[in-house]
Amino acid sequence: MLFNSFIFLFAFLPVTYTVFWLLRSARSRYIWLAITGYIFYGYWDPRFCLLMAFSTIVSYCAGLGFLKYTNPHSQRLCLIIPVTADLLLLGFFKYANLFMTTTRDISNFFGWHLNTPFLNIILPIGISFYTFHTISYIVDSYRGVIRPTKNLFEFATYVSLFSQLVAGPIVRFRQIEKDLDSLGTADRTRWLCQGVAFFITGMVEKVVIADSLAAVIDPALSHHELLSSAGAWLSMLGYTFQLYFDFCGYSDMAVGLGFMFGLRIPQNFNSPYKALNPSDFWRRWHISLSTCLRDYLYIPLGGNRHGKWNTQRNLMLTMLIGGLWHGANWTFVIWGAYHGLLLIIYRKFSTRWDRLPALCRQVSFFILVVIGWVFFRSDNFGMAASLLHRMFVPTDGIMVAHAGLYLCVLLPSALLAMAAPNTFDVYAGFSWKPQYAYAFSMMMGVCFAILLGGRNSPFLYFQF
Amino acid sequence: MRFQINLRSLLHWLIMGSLCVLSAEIACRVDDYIRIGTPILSTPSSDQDLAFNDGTIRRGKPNGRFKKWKLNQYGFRGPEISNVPKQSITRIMILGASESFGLYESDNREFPAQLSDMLRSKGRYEVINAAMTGMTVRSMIDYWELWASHFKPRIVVIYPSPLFYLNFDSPRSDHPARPASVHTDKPTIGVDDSRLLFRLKDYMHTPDFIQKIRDKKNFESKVAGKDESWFFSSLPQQNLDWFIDDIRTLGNSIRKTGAAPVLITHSCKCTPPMNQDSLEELQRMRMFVPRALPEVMLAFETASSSRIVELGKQEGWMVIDAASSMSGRREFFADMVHFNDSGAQFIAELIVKCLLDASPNLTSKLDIEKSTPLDQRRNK
Repeated sequence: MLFNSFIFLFAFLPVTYTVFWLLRSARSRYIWLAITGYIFYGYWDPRFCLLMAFSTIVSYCAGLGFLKYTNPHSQRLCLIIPVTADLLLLGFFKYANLFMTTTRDISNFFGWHLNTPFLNIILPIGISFYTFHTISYIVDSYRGVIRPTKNLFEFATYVSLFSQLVAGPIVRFRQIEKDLDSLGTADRTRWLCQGVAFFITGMVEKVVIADSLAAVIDPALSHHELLSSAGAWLSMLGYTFQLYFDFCGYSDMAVGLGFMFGLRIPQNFNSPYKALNPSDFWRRWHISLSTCLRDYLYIPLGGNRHGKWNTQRNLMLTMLIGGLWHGANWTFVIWGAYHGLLLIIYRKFSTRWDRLPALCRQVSFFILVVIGWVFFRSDNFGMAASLLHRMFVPTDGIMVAHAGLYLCVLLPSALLAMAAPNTFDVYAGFSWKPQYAYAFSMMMGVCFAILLGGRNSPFLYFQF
Repeated sequence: MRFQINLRSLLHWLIMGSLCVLSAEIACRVDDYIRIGTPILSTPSSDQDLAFNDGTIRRGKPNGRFKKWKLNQYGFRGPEISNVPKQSITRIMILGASESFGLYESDNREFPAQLSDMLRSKGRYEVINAAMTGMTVRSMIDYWELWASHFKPRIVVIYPSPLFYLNFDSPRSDHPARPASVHTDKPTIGVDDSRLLFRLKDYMHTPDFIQKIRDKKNFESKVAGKDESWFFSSLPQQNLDWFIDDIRTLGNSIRKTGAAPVLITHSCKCTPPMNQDSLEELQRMRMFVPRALPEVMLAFETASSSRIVELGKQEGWMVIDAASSMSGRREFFADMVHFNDSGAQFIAELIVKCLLDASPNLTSKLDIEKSTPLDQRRNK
C-alpha cells in the first residue's frame, strides 16, 4: 500500500485516523496503531508481518532484560544476542544471494568453479528500516540513553508505525518517546494542519515532480548504451532530482502522517543539494541514516579520536557499510566508497576548499554528487562505466525524449532543490490560514489527476 | 451565530472541494496534452477523437488522439507517412477492425507496428495500419475504394472479422454506398465531457460480477421481444456467403489497383468443443452478436476460415492461416478476439514468414498463380 495510492488515501488513512482519535487512552491508541501498522505492512505480503513481529518481540525482550539484569555480562548478552538476531535476519534476506554470487565469481576467478545455489528469497519490504529501529533501541537501552519501555504495545507502535515503517525516516525511540508517552492526551488539532501541509507537499514532490522526471529518464536509462553525452548528463541530472524529490517527498509525507497522530517525526532531508562539501552533504541527506551510522558505527569504531589514519579508516568503513545498506549490489558499495573518499579528501583539503566562493563550492560538489549517483542508479558496473564514459567523453547518440518539455520540469526542480527553502523551512513557524486550505486543495487535485492517469510508481527507497 | 459558523464552514469546504475538482480537471487536460498530445479543450470520446465522417465514408481522424491511440495526419494509426510510397519502398497496408487497429496491446505493440519493426531489417518496407475499430469487410470496400487505395500500397493484408456478419440482414448489393452524415464537432459542456470523470471511470475497474450483470441486462434489452426464429440456432449459410462475397469484392477491387491482396483467417480464443470458460467468453460476445448462440458463433468462425482458404485458392490470392496456428491458444488473446502483446507478435511473425517464404523478394511478388494455405508451425 503506497501513500500515493487511493486505497491508502480514501480507506486506510481515514479509518485509522478516525478510530485513533475516537479512542481515549494511550494503551488503546498504541494497540490501534500497532494493528494498523501490521495491516499496512501485511498488505504487501502477510508473511512479512511474522518477521517484523519476531524482531519486535526479540528487541522488546532485550529491553526487559536491560531493566531486569544490571550486571555487565548479562547486559552485554542482552545487547549482543538481539542485535545479532536482527543482523542475521537482515543479512539473510538481503545479502544471502549477493554472498552466493560473489563467492561463485571469486571461485571461478581462481578456477575452483564452486556451484553456489541461487536462493529464491523475497526481500521483505522495509526490513532495512525496522531492523535499524530495533537495533537503535537496543543499543540506546544498553548505553542508558533511554529507559526501555515495559509496554509491549508502545514498543510495537514504535516499530510498526506505518508512517515510517517501509522507507524511513529511521526514527530512534528517544526521538518520539515523549510523544508516545503522551499519546493518550495528544491534541488532535495542534499538529493537524502541519500534518496536512507536510503530507500534501510531500505528495506533490513525489507525484508531480519525481514521477514526471521518472517518465522521461527511466526509458532513457534503460537504453543507456545509446545515449549521447548530453542525453547521459540530462538523464543523470534528472535522476539526481528524481531521487531527492521521491525520497524527500516520502519523508515529508511520513512526517505529515506522524503529525496527524500526534507524533513528531524528525527531519530527514535538509536541502542536501545546497551542501558545500561532503560533510555538509551528509548532515543534510538522509539525516536519520547518517546519524545512525555516525552514532552506532563511526563513533564506536573510534571516530576521529585516534589519529588521521584511523579516522580515514573509520570514515571509509562507515560509508562502505552505508552503501551496502542500500542494497545487495556492489555498485552501492562503490557509491559508499566514493563518498568515503570524498569525505577523506575533504578532510585533507578543507581549508583550501572552504576559501572558494559558496556558489562555486555548491555547484562543484553537486557535480561530484551526480557522478556518485551514477553508481547508485546503475544495475551493474557495465552500466556505470557506460554512463560515465558518455558523460565525460563526447559521444553521439540519442537525446532524452521530449527534451524541451523535460527541461521545463528539470530546471524548476533544480531551482527548488538547490535554492528554494525546503518543507521544514517553510512550515517551521506554520500557522494555519484559510487561504492555505485552498492552495492545498488545488495541490491535492493535481495529484489526484496524475494518480488517476496511472502513473503510480512505488517510492524508490522501498527497494532498500 | 452557530448556524452562521456552520454555514461559513460549509461554504469553506465547498470552495475547497470545487478548487480540488477544478484543479484536477485542468491537470488531467494538461497531462493528456503533454503525454499524448490530446487537445486541451477536446471532449474525451474514442469515436469523436479517432474517427469522423468525411461525407462519404467513416475514416480515421487526421492527427486524432485518444488515450494511448495516436493517428497520423491521414488518420492511420502509426508514424507519419507520405501520400505515395517512396521509390523502392514496398508499402504494405493492413485492413481490418479493432483486432488489427490494436486495443489491448501495449503502445506500439499492435501487430501492424510489430510487423513494421520486424520487416525493417528485411528490406525497404513500410507498413500502414489502415484498420479501424468496428470496420466490417462491407465497409472496407468503400473505405478502400474511396480512401485507402490513394496511398498505393503494393500489398494489402486483410484481417476480416467474420462475426459482424451475424448482425447483417441482407447482402451488400442491397445497400449501395450512401453518403454518411457529416459529423460536425459541436462544442459540448457537460459532466460527461469531464476528463477527470473519464479517468475516474477508467481507474475504477468494475468488479466482474457487476460487469456480468450489466452485460446481461444489455443483452436482454437487445433481444427483448424477439421470437425464436430471429436467433441463429444453426450456422447461417447465407450470412457466411455474404461475408465471402464481400471479401471477394474487396480483393478484386484491390487487384484492380495493381496491389496484391493477402487474406488472413480470423483467429479467436476459443475453438470447439466448448467448455465452461469458452461458453462464458462467447456469452460476453453476444453483447455484440446477439442473434447467434455461442455454438453458432464458434461454427461461424471455423467455417469462415475454411471458406477464406477456399476463396484464396479460387482467386489465386495468398492466404495466411492464422486460425489454425492461433485459435484456441488463450495465451495470445486479451479477450475472445483481440490480441495481447504476445498474440500480436505471433501473428506479425506469421505474416513475415509467409510473405518472405512466398518469395525471396517481396517486391516481385505480385501475381500469385495459386495460393496455398501455409502449414504453420504449432508450438505446443
